[in-house]
Amino acid sequence: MISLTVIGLLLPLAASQEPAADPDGQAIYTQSCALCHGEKGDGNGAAKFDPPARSFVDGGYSFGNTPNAVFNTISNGIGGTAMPAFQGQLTEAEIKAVATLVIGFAPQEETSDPLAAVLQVSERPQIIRGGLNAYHEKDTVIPRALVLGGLDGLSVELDTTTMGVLAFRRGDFVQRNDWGDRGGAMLEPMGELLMSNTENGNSWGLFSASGFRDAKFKFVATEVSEQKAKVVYRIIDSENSVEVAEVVEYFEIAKERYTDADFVVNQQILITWLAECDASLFYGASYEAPTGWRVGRGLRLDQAELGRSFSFLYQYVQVKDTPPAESQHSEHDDE
Amino acid sequence: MNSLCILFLAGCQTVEADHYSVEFLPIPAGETLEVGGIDFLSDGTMLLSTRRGRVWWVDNAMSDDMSQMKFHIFAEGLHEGLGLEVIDDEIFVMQRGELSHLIDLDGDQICDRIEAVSQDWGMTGNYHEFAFGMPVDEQGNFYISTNVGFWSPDWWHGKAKAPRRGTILKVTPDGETTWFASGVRSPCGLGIDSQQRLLYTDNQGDWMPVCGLFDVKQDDFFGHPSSLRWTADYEFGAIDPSTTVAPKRQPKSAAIWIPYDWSRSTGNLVHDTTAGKFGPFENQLFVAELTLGNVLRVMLEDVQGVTQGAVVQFREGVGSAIRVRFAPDGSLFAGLTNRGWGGLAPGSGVARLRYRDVLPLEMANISLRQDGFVIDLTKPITSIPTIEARSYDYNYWWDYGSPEMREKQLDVGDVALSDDGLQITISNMKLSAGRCVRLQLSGIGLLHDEFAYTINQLPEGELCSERVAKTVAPPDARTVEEEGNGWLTTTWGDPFDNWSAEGWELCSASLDKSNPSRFELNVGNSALVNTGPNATHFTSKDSYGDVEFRFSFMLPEGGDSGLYMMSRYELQLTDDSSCGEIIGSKNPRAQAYNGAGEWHIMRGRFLAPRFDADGNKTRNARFEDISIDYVGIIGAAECNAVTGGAVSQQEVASAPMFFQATAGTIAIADVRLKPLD
Repeated sequence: MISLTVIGLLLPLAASQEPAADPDGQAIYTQSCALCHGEKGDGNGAAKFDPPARSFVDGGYSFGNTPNAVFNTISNGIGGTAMPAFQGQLTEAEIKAVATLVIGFAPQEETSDPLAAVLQVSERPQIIRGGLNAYHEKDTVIPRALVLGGLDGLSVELDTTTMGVLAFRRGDFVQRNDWGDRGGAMLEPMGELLMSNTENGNSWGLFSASGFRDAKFKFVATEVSEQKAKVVYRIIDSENSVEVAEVVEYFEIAKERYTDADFVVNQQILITWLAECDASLFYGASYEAPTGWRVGRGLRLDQAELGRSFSFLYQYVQVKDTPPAESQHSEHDDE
Repeated sequence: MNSLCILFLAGCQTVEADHYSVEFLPIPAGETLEVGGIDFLSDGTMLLSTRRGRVWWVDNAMSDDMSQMKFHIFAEGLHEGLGLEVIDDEIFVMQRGELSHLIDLDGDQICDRIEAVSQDWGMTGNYHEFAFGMPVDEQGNFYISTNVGFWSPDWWHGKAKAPRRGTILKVTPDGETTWFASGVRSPCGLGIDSQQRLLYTDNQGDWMPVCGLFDVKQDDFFGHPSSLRWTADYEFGAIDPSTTVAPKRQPKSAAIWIPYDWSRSTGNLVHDTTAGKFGPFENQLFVAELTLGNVLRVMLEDVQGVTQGAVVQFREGVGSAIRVRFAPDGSLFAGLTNRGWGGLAPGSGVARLRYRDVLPLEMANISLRQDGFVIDLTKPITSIPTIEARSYDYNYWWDYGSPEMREKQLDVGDVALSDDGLQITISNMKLSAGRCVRLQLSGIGLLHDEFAYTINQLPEGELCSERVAKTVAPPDARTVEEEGNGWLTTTWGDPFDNWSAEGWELCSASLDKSNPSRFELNVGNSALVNTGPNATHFTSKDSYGDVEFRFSFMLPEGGDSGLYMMSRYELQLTDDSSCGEIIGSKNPRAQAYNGAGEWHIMRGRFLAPRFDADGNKTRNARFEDISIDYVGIIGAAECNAVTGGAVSQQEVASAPMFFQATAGTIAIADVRLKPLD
């Protein structure tokens, strides 16, 4: 069993690499900013504008009051206003120094304890929504994702647009950066990556729910109970736009060996997946489907059974009682 | 303020706090509630969605004793929550990527199941792709709005890189999601008023001159071009709308353009359903305002089928209010959030506004007449107010917001007070549609004595097609290339100390009406004027050779100056038809100079003379593509020799430039240079 300890181990270290000689933000401000924004940052500079120059003392900013946002504004200016772009006029370090100074003019806000952004799974499983960074540099981000955290320290990441499984992890759960900047930032799953399609990044690779000729997948709901974190989605017959199944996927530790009978399927395809992993987990699906539709997908990592690190990835879909191979899909698309 | 004074002394000036209290709720220790949505269950439980992805459950939110309030987390791990709506005690939350139904399966006041009602709009993952919500109409349809994304470096031009961004979407109870309206920019606030009108507020920026409140009907377009990318005219994503040229499609006018000094970031709006518990403004709209920390009050009316009306200030000191909602007891709760948007402190938490049962003297209703206004008051007055009025409009353009443009003082014709002292009628004013007017009624003790009215239409006559926000020619586009490739903004008070000059004054300038050969100078910095004693040439500290330039200039009658490139070759700046002439070379081929007292934009390119290794000139200096206000006046003009007034007769490869100070008066502004070396 994997426990949820060592919270904070993966926290990013506070920025401590300051340049040797810090630029004098105050001096730069006095020279380049105070004419318009005032010596005290109150917008009462000698120069008057319509609209007036920003008062930093009130805490108001056109494009955000986070260090990045203020840095951006100073660097690029604000189009159509008198605020010029200082990029090229000031060095990056100088702009940073001014940004820090300017933010300091504002009423001090409460700061969040960074540890408060680390979510833990304690009494029951958790499901977190947010964006995820791509698993491969060539890929785009996943703007709508779920991270399911189990009581056993295992977590699963899913893309709710495709219903693809993105990754499995173990260890700490998630660091939320939603309040880290103006529009928040991507979720940071903290666990050790057990499995993801790092070759091709996005969800259509691993446990993909796309690629089935006749089916589309539509996210429906998440549900959390004492033991299970469930994800519900629908299978839509894409030809007729008719819903044919509602699938409930859940996440739990395998307490016993699951057999093929646990999936009510007509057909199963088994592929092997090498992974450096000693965990035992099961990610399964159950469903109620009308006649002719069958679905299931699952992963088992079962070292003891085979005497070595090994895993099985199952994925089953049978569409409309048609058994042929093209409607069966198991290997991840590498297209 | 002594309440006796309010009650018994007629005409005594009161303050907002005499009539409406503002209290801040006791937030649990260590928590920061960046509130994005507020609503109430039928039992009075308050629910707050936050930008940190939580929904808080608040018991006793209406209690007089604030220590009785109890907060606990109902739901966690959402992707923002910029809207929350309770429908028949079912809880719906607007997440960034999903409109969701939050369900407590076992009655323990903890959410167990979250159902996706809709995810049917595009996202790229850009930080600025906020999603806001979500009033519900009588049929149970939700209305949500999607923000445009911001990408560096020209991040003030919002873009819709994914489908359905910059739109208002309609979501049926079973999740069917359709395009309802488009052209929105940063549509933070939505609401449905007492007449079941869907309204939304937008935030000032490109194509939004100031914050506006709009009446939304199916297929409306509100002016921000980005969402058009996903329409047939732009081949559904194949063509990017221009960020600088106005789209062909005419935008719908705002019902209210809110003055910049009253709102910089507008949130949502609610109408007063409290039947007097919140004071004398039944059915009127209350609008959240983040940057200045206000709540504003709006009165709408229908004039020739067009929704428009007046806005007044209501209550200051509320904090960074983004959401307002009436509680069952008639209190108005304001949800606060500041992060990244920069509002008045406090920047998080919840404010509770309550009516103190002390009737303020306010303009209770403002109604437009053909030639004035009818203003109902909450209390009788005995004397006629002193009224000042002005009108103005805005530019609809790519620039970030618009100042009030084409401002005029208005004569207030006749002012009459009704016998009961409750109604002021202003008549014989000269009003025009397509303008905003702002009136101040002083001397009668009004709690708020100013209003701004957006006149899209007058009550009589033909419908006016002119909009308050006037489409203007695109200003000189500060495109990515220009910004990124070395355009130097060298003036605006010269923060970079790029110029040296004596006797130039930073001010705002306009033609002196009593003596149009002079400027009237006021406090400001839209102009640099050589009116000081012994003014010297406005001379660049750096030397330039080949350079693209642009600057704004204005001349008084008989004004005379010139731009001396390399301190040698003069581009004439005079108040006559020779303005733009290259002295000794070419006259303007077109008349683009528009006369004294008008600002003009001069653009062009200068190429320095060339020399061979022995210092012999191989090519003359030349000007190219000179234009005034985008009208080309000179294609190319060679300078065989330097102009009179030059610092030296010797031609060189590069040298400082200057604006001439000694021949006459000129105002210059916004000088930008792009060296072409």
